[in-house]
Amino acid sequence: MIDPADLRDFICSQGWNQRQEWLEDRLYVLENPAFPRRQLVFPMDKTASDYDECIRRVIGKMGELMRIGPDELLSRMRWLREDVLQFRIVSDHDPVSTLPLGFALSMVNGIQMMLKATACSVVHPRLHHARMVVSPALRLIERTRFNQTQAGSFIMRVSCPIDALEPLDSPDHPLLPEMTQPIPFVRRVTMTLQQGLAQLIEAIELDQVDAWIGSLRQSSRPLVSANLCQALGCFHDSSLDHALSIQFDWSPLQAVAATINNRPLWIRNDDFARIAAIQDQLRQEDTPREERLIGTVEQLNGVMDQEGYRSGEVVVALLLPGGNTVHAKVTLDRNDYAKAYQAHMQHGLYAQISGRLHAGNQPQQITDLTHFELVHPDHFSPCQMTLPAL
Amino acid sequence: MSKLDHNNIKSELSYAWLHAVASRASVICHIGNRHDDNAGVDARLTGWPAMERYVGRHLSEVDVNVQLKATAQKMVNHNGLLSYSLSNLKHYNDLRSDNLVTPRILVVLFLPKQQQQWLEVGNDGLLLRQCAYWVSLLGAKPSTNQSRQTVYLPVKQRFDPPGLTTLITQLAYREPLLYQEPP
Repeated sequence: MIDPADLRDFICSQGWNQRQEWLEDRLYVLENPAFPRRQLVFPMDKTASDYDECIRRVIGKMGELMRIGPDELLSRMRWLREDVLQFRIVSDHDPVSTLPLGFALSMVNGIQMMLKATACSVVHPRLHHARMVVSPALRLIERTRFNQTQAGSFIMRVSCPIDALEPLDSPDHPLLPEMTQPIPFVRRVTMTLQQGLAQLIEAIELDQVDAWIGSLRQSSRPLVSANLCQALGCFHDSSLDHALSIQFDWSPLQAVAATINNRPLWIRNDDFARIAAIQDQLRQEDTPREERLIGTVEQLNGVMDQEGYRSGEVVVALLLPGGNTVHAKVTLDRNDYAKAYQAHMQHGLYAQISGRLHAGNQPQQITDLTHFELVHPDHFSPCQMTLPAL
Repeated sequence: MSKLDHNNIKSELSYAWLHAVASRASVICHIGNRHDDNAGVDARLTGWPAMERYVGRHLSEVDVNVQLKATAQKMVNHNGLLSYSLSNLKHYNDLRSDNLVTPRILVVLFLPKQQQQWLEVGNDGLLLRQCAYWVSLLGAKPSTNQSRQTVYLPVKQRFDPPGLTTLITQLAYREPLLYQEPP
């Protein structure tokens, strides 16, 4: 409930005057010349047993006098000490009921950028700010809050058109084994997400996480990944004591698995730490498969042994399908290190590596090395990534 | 929604009494909502004292919360005090609390035992029997009982328009209306 001094300040801002003689009784008594013989009376202290009732009454009276609904009044009071900016997307053609998700994210970033830019202009007026890292601007952003559009509206809704993508080739789905028609890809995704989250929550609630992770490892279609857990982490703010509710509303145009429970899924504040731990477990236990990799040798970080030969870590730039590259470290013995040296020094010479590439921040790690050979570019096409037989 | 039972009728008649008296005294009567009900408040009266007759520091708008009861038990008058058994100790404690900003009173409508006599309507008027009285339990002693507490309403504190007007004026001066324990 609103603080009495804040309520007093708000009422005074609306043209009411305080009667000082009642302060000794620990009462705020306010009058307004526009409303003769009307008074708003409430305690200065929140310790009064009927404090909440007094405040509700005062807000009700004020609303009647000002012809403003109590919710609107409360909203104005809530932002007594804040400047509120409201951004609204309006369309000249059709009512805007949804926005592309990327656009929504862009708007939030735009608000932050707008405030930063203006704060920087206040501190250092200029036409362009090369880097908006002025301390007051950063502090302003830290203190700025994202508001509800209406009470209870910290609800983010996204809609996924179920016919946005073609179905996968295989119509079967573990949740809908009776289906003979292809299940739209989007529905597969949303059902999988719902079931995955439900499993995750149940495992935590029943304290069966280890057993559940074991079942995930053995499953050919694990519903939960470390990435999903990481995504859930984006819905947690450690400075707030909050829970997360996730609700699925299914398009009636496509059947939903009977096993799916339509109740909202709840993730409590304490659960987020468990989910972070599960994320680590899933990432660690995701043993990469052995694969053949090809790339250039970019760095030689080996050390000299007593016999005068170098061995140790090298960094390679692996060529991935699609034209991407990823840097990875691999530890080589003296013989392979010598090959790596040759590949590093000779333009156009590649290394073919057999091992397990572990995902993560670059440089990634290659372990369980079984093969390290030099490959001449005549024997493969870097663009096509067709590797020669070992 | 269903037909009113015995107790509902008594309750509604007590609201009718409250409304009628308040209206005649130019006092606004607000029926309590769910929040108020949880706090033991059945209605709130808002009145304005007759300022032209009084001087000194006083409020020009007064609120008083009412807990409303109705009973068909026989009125027992002990030396000018009418006894009433309050069945809810929480309500008793709410009423006697000295930590309230808005004054709170108990109003009890005493009804005849015979239901047919509760309300009569004729060409010359509407008669609601028998009478309502009010009391402030501010400062009353804690109860030593398990579930009920008998309180005493002064016969002189009849809940009628003049009495309500006087009450509003007293409260405008923030005079504490302390409960008088029976001798």
